[in-house]
Amino acid sequence: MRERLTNLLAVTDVRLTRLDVDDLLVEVLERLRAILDVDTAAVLLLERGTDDYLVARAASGLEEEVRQGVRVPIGAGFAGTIAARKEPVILDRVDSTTVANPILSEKGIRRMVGVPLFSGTDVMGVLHVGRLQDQSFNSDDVELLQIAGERVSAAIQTRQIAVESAAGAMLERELLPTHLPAVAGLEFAARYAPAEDRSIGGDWYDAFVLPSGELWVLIGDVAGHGLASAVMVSRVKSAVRSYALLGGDDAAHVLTMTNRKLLHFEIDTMVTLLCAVAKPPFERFAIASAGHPPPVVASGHGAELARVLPGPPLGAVDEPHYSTTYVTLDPGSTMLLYTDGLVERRGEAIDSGLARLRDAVANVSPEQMCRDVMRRLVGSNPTLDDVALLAVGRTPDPSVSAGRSAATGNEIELIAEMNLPPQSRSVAEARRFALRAAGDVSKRTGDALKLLVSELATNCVVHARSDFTVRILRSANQIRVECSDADKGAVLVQHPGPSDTSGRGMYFVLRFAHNWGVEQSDRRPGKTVWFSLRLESTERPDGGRDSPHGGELSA
Amino acid sequence: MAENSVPDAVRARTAGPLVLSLAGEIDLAQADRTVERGNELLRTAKAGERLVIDMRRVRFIDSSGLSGLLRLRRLAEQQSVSVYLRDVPDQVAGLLRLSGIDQVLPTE
Repeated sequence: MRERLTNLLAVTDVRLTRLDVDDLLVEVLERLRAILDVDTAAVLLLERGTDDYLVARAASGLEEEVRQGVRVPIGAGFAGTIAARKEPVILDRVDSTTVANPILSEKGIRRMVGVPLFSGTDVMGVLHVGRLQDQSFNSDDVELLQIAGERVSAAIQTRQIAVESAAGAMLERELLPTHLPAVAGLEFAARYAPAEDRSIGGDWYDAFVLPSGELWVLIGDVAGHGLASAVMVSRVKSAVRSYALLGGDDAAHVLTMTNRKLLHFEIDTMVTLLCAVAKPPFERFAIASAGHPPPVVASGHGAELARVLPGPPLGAVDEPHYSTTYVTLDPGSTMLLYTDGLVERRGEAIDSGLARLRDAVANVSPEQMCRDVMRRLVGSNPTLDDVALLAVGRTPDPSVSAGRSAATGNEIELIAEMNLPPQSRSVAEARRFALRAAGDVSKRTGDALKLLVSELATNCVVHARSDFTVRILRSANQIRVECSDADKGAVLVQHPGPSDTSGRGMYFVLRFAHNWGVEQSDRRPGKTVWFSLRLESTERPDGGRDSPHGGELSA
Repeated sequence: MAENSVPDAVRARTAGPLVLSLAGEIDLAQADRTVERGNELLRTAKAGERLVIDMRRVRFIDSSGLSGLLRLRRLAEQQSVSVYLRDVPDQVAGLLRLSGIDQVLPTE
């Protein structure tokens, strides 16, 4: 009898290529009925969700199971028990105490036997057969059913792989824009190289122009590979586009919204994402990063990594805070966005990879930059991870002579800003943000900056108790920090005695700042407290002569 | 000398002063916690004893952190416990001098 079964089921291997898996399953089940002399046969497959359960997929003599979309929780009833225990079960009594599905007893089934279906060592479903007559099943029946089960598992898996690869190919075409936008004054170039194993990756880039004329360029990386990652890319891409269209303008806010969506709707997903936004003529990009490596900007002055302070990856924490960094893109300069596959090497610190990238980038056209970077950093090495590149360059302006424009001289320029809530941990976030944005400064300037930002942020948290914004501005010879909150209350400068336990914050500002002040505006509800620090000659590109003012921080 | 480097742990009652070890950035978020930890130590203190605040691993302090130290000093005073600082980093020492706190919170 076993030989007969084996022969009959062998047919399935040939038929597999021609028949839809559902037709095939029905055919296998019908044959099983004849061979095992049973009245019903059914296949249920595992569906994963918040709760795992089995769903009826194919049946013979028990078609209503499939028609009614029967679902059985894992661990419950007959099929649920087989899936939970991962072993065959013989049932000699069919009633509401032994089966979860009333169809089985209503049908008059008296005896049942079922086996788990495996994908590797994981249970993927259950195959069971039943008799209306009171004739029990034995271990031979179990063995035959297991052989049939292996065939059924193989058929289903073959089909799933085929579906996944077809869907993957379709999605992959969908994920990357076929046309980068045509924008006057800008040039784009992009590359996408899948990992060596050719699986669909989780990297993507996007570039689009909103009705306001605002340009968004972004690059991201969903953890993992395969169809599930590609589907996630598609969702994140769509979410970001929606929030950008509706919210506009503020990349940090769009990251916050997307994080909220991911945390609520997508469980166990981690995404790094970097957004860069600019309005015509695209000389200044506002950049926000969720755990993504910083862009490289190549200009006539060489290549630099943008000083972007990355917030947490999307999907990692509740209500993270993202800062905005402003990057100037002069005519003829190019900014390169990339994914970590470009800079990461096994057993090497990320900083080495970033340094290698910076050294590989020259001030060339976007197309040339992508070509050079791929050649120098990827070359003919097998890539362990996908690599995506997106370069955006401003077309050279012949009327502007070489070198940076006057705007970057003594004029003070906003280089970064961050919104924070009135929580005590915001004070440390403000310090970290300010230090990163300020860039290369002496220890003395850095210490003063850290202290005074801490004091202003503390005042916002303790006194204003409103959301507040920290802005970092820089010129060739000074750094200016502004803290805006929603409170109009006066700022009190005291000179506390040695044992007084309060009132020291603004005193430090007074002592360490080169200059400071409080501004109120009719346009904004609260007030802005600001201070400036003079940069020492060694910190200044022009080598200034002014000595810094204020108290000594160091012994 | 027993060093209390574990948060909330009260040092073993051996000879020598009570030691409160601080670490990291002492700002608004950490000041209250610092006072609480010090106060726990003070519960085991006898009048006339010394409380030493070990600052060696403090990377940063601001006015909120300094206020925390002064609040702790006030609590100690009520129990006639004198407070000293130990291994004060440069950034902290500069602020202590500037604000005159070094007069009331001397370094060992």
